[in-house]
Amino acid sequence: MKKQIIAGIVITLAAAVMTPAYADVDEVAAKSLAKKSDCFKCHAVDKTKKGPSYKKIAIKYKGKADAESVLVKQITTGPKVKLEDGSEESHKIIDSQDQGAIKNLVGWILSL
Amino acid sequence: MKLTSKSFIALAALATMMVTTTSYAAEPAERNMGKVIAKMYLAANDLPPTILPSEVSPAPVETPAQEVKAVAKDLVLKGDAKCTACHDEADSPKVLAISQTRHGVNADGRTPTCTSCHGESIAHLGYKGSAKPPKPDFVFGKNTATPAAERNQACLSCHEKDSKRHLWTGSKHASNDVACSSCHQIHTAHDKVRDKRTQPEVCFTCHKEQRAQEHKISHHPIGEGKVACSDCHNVHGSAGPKLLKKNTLNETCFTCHAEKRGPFLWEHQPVSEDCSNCHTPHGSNITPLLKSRAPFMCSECHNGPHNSKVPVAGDAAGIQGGLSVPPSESYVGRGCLNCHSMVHGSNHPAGALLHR
Repeated sequence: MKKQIIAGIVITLAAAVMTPAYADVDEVAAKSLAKKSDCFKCHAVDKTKKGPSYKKIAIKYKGKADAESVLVKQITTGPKVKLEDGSEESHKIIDSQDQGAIKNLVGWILSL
Repeated sequence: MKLTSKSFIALAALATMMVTTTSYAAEPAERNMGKVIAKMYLAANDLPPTILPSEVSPAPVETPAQEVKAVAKDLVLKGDAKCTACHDEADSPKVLAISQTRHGVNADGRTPTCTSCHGESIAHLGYKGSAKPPKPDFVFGKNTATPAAERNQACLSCHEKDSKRHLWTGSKHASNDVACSSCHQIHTAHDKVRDKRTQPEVCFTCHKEQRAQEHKISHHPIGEGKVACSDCHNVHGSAGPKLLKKNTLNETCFTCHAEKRGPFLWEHQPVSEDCSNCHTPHGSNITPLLKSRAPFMCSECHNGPHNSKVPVAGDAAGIQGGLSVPPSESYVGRGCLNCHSMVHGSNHPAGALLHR
């Protein structure tokens, strides 16, 4: 019995550790901000448009410590980006000043 | 099945994995195990690689690794790729719903494309900055800066010639800067204004007085979905008053109320003159759609003595002509229609007084 209780505790702790860091993102709010900022004009969740899909971006930055800061910089400063067709243009700047909302959007992308 | 030594090694390795591996994969562990067993067995026996039934996905789901580089293809209309490269189902699925309308029928050579209505929009297409791009040449939304006349031209370039719309120019709606897109939705399978049941909602957005009248006790069954505004009005322009479908009010009413048209042996002059002398079309609290209640309505014209030869007396022009004498006392409290039941006209030889 004692062993079973310990096993249960271990399993619970393991599950907590393995839970993704972005599990608490507000998907609806993230999508809403993306829609408002015209992100979906160039990106889709799982389809390459002018820009890479969000899933592709999530894979690219998976496990990287600076993923969030890189993506936040990308969508707030509007650097030159190379499109899928090889041409270049400035990345659109997110239509929000709310850092929480921006980080939520980035978190949602990374959670895909 | 006879186990070879290689197979045995493979199974042993598998058992070790089961003990040590924690699965982070999205698939359930038991499904992965099945795959692993099969793969290891095949590898151990040097069999050719085979696609396992469980590996055949029921629906082709594109995983990021398998993404194919986007090639701009037309999604709905001919030549729409330059627009739908951005405005696709990920961005605005509603835009693509044009495929469910007659404007999305590619087999019809007259079918327009995006730029037919929205213009070439070179500045919009070529924008590479980080702010919002400039709007297309012609925008049809609610808060658009495109003038109504320019917006309408996009539609009229095709739709002006048909008989129902050729009187648009100079019509009441046109001169009040109402645009086609003020009422019509192009990118939707169900254009509310083209459905009899939902059309009044659209018209009542502006015509609020008519909405109120339609809720009175006596009304045409507009709210009930039996009659629509367009049954009487041609909102795209007409030669008649109030954008009526026919040239006169009576002609329009008679399209349904044919029994009132006549010709009658004994006519009631105001009936053949103008139905709205007595009736109001959108609603009244006096059945049937009357402007006033008998005997007051009748006495507006018939103010002579009841049994006289000239019951209309001095007020033949009715209330519109300005009453010159007070109504006769002989009408007070009377129910005119109890006897004069054929107020719209009579064909009875003895129906001179519209009794029968």
